Amino acid sequence: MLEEEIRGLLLKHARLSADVSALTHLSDLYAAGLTSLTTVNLMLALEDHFDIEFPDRMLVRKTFESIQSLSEAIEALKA
Amino acid sequence: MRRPPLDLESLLGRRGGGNRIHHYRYYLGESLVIEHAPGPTGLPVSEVGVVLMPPLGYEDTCAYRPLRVLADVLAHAGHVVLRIDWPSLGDSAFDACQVDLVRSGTRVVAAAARLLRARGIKLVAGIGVRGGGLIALASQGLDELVLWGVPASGKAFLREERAFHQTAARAYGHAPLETWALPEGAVEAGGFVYGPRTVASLEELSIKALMAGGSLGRVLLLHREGLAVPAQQVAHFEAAGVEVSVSAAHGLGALLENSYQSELRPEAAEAIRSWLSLHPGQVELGPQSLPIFLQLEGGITERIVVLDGEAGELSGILCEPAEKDSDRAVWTIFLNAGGVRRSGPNRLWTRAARSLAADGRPSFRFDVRDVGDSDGTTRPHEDLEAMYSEASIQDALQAYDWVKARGAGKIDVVGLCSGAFLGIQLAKRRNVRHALLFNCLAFVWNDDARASGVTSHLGPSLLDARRWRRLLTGHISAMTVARAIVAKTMGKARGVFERLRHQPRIDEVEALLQSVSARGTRLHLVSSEGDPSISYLEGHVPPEHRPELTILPGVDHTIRPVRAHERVVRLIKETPWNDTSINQMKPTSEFTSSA
Repeated sequence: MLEEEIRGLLLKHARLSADVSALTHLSDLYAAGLTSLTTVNLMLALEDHFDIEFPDRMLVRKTFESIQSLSEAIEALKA
Repeated sequence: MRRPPLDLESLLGRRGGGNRIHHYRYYLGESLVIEHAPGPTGLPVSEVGVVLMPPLGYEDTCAYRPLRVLADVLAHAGHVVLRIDWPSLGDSAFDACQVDLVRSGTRVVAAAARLLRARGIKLVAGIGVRGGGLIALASQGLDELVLWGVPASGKAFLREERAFHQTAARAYGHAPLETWALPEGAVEAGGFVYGPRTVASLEELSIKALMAGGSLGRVLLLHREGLAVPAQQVAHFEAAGVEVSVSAAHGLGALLENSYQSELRPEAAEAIRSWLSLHPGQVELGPQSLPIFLQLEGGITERIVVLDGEAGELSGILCEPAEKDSDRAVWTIFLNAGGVRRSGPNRLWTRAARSLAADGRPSFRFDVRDVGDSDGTTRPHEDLEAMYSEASIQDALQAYDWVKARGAGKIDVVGLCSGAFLGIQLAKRRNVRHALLFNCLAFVWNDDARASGVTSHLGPSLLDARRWRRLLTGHISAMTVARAIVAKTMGKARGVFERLRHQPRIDEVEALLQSVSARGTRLHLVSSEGDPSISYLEGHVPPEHRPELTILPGVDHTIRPVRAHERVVRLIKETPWNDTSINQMKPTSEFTSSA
């Protein structure tokens, strides 16, 4: 469920070059076309959608590099 | 009945031949201002004048050309538009850590609004993009405001900038041992620095607080890409009695794409144009007599130069020291890095030009056609061909000849990426003392370079749907890609075949470098660690014939992060202006390699 919601937000906000539906949960989103600029857009969309706020320590490439890392970060923030 | 799709050419009045927009360039205090006027002074114009406030830092680099097009669209609609360079950015005065960008920026905006009123304009509308919108909100003198993708507060903006920088960090690689320390309280993002005083001022800005004492009549809020304007933001304006309009027109992502593919989306331009058209009155525009030169510390002067080029106006900045020995002066020409305007990647050319001037050395930085403030296309670069074209070379030659006619003794050239290509081409056709060329992906633009170029510039994006869409809609020549792929395959096959036959082959690139060296030019190549320019050089020139090569560790293709900038400025300045060993260099076909 969470993964599907993330996929939806990736599709709408991340301007990826790859087909979002073809990405696995471990696919490298930066290799799929995510840039630093679109990461910021995605970050705001995730925060808005899940009503969370990424702390500064999480505003790093590792957090945004895959659907799985995003899922883990969101679950940690919602816990 | 369905309306025909919008297109920029119609909005610019170019269908069927429209009026030419007049561009006037001058300094307002310590900021460069480009005025876009519907016609010459004295003709009626809209009673609504516009101050166009760009985004900050790296976003300013990306949005520069499309915002020029937006200013032209609005000028065609009858508005006088003043497009400003923020202090410490572009060609304006100051370095990032010398200035409070918010405080000095609001002064520039207020001065621009006063200038418009003094010339007969009745209402002044501002257009603020991203961080520029926050400064717009803090400024006096604006009656109406368009805010495009503006964060709710300066703190939110800085958080986004930190996230941008930190998520790019791995791409920069590991830091070398010697690093430049960012001043305490400063923030780095995308190759730019927000100085401590700017950061402190930004942290105090919020739409809520700014609206409490504001005097705006109307505001148009444009959606951030895919994200609606927060209801709370709308509420802050409404609570202050401001009439709020919201537009869902897309375009911010396209505006900030990158320096050579950013574009103005017609729907966003039309949303702004139609919102500004509420007041139909006209006034007669009075004259202005503002200076075209900027006096900097140490007696350095920067002067706006406009050359009459083959494709229209070529825009440049001449940077001169307080005193120069015209007989012995070595001038430096800075060349555009891809689609980045004349101030250079991360504003490095502006910084280096002023540093050279402090040592008594003049320089000229300018825009070739289609880039920055020079005339040309309203669209992003259609493909790599445009940046490596004979037309761009001709513009560079024109700049060289102008500098020479101005009294230059010897001339150095500095370029990055496609600017390095222009640099070697200049050195091939004119006398260049020293060519300092960063991250050159192609010295010669042929099928082989197309292959390298396609794989270097677009390589990671050969699966990029947006770029393929550009291909399919004719923006990238399918033949270019096909030729490139074929050339690359054939090139590899030819190389293998020739190695098998032990037949030496003089590579076109190697021959060019040799001929430039033989003309007496000192070639110094600089590559970022891991940059494709290194494999390009290795693929074309054997070690014994390679020019001097310096590797910059932990730096990306456009010389980020900021810690590398001091080193780059030192490299640009390292050849002393009176270096007689260089001046008397004998032509030679041999290269020395320090790589």
